[in-house]
Amino acid sequence: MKIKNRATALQTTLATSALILLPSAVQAVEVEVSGQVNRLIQGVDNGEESGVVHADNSASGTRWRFAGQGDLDNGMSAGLLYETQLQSNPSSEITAGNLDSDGIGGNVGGGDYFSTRHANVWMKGNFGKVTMGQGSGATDGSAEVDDSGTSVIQYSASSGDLLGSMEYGDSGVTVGDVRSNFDGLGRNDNLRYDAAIGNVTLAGSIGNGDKIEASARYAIENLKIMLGFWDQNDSGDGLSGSAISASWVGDSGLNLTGSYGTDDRDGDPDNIYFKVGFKQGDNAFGIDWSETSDLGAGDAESYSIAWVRSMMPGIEVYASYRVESLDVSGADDIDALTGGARIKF
Amino acid sequence: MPHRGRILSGLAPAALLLLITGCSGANLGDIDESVDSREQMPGPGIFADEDGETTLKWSSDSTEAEATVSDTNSAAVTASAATSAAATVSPEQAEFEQFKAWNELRTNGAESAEYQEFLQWLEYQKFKSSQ
Repeated sequence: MKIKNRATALQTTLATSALILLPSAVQAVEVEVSGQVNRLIQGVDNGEESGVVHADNSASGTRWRFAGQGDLDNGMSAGLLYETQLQSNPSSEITAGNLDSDGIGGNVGGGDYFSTRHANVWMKGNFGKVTMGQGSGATDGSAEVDDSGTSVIQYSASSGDLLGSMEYGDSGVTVGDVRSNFDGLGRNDNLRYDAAIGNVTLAGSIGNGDKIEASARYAIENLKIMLGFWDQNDSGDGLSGSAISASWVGDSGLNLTGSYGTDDRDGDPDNIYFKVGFKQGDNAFGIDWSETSDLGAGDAESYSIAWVRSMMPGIEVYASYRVESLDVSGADDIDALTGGARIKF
Repeated sequence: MPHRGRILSGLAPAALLLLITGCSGANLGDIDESVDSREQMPGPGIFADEDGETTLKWSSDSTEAEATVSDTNSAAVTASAATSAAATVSPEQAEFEQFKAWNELRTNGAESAEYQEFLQWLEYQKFKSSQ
């Protein structure tokens, strides 16, 4: 929900003083407060342990955001974005041992995770957009373009988001050890610049440790493509990598989504992802497959089927069945049946 | 570092292209800011009505504030906060609240457009009460 100043002086005075203070040069102020709660129930069997667990869907966690923007005198605008994620039992952190307990930490509240996702300010005009602070680097999302309508429960990073801490049987290897979609450098503290030339948006960002990222996004009505390159330089493990993803939605509702990502750590691991989907009315269906090679103990793959239904504006329910496999001796498959709901406010 | 070379070789022509385009006076600001539907569910939130609007009310002994929020697919919205003579507030109390707001504006911004607009608003209130 956005909040904008209205005509009367008294209203303006009260609204602006209560909501946001910006320099006098700002001609119009708009504030948006929004968020979501996204919960799921997951039945998991990893070949050694099985059980049902309540979790927060880490593919799109419970969060709230505060965004404000104002028009400046000179045709430019400036704003801010602050977003915090507040999860209880994130699905990515659920271990096999948690299946028989009260959740992460073994007690209610032990699995509370809080994180700041965005805390940045920006300015834009005919020159493009400059953003400073914590937020998406230029390559964030470069492996995750997905217009299938099922991405809340099925997309290129679902393996890690839904089962990242789950062990393949008693192999000692978790899904997170061997799966990645190599989606750039995610969110980080950076200075970012975006500029559009026709249907192509170019972006570059520089972050702590001299990490640099560059991307290009192409978007038309039924097709989106994103390509990204990054180099951590002095940050993290100093890795560099690249990713590309695309999603097409036909008039019939049939849709195709795919991505490929890699980086230059030992073994030159990579990930390939492919999904066929269908949208009809308020329903979206998808079947996907993906494989990560050479990242850890062995090559890992997964496939899943998913269904998402929009019940009414702001409410969607979903279900999926997912199988994770690892080609290591003694590593059992992980089966997960998931149902959940996401509600936006 | 093959990737680093690719980044730099990709950035150089992109920077040159931006420089040329920028110098030509072209608009580079029409960037794609669409939000992924996984990151943020499309459409209005659950508090929106059929018109995509939400009304929030809160009140105290002497003041009632109201926010009208229209929440559309792109979350285009308006909202306001206002003091008004609520049904539970006596006319004298309401008038006192108006006086306080008027005095604040008079002190800090007598020449401002907001103050002038406020005076018009007071005249409008008088007009309404005379009907």
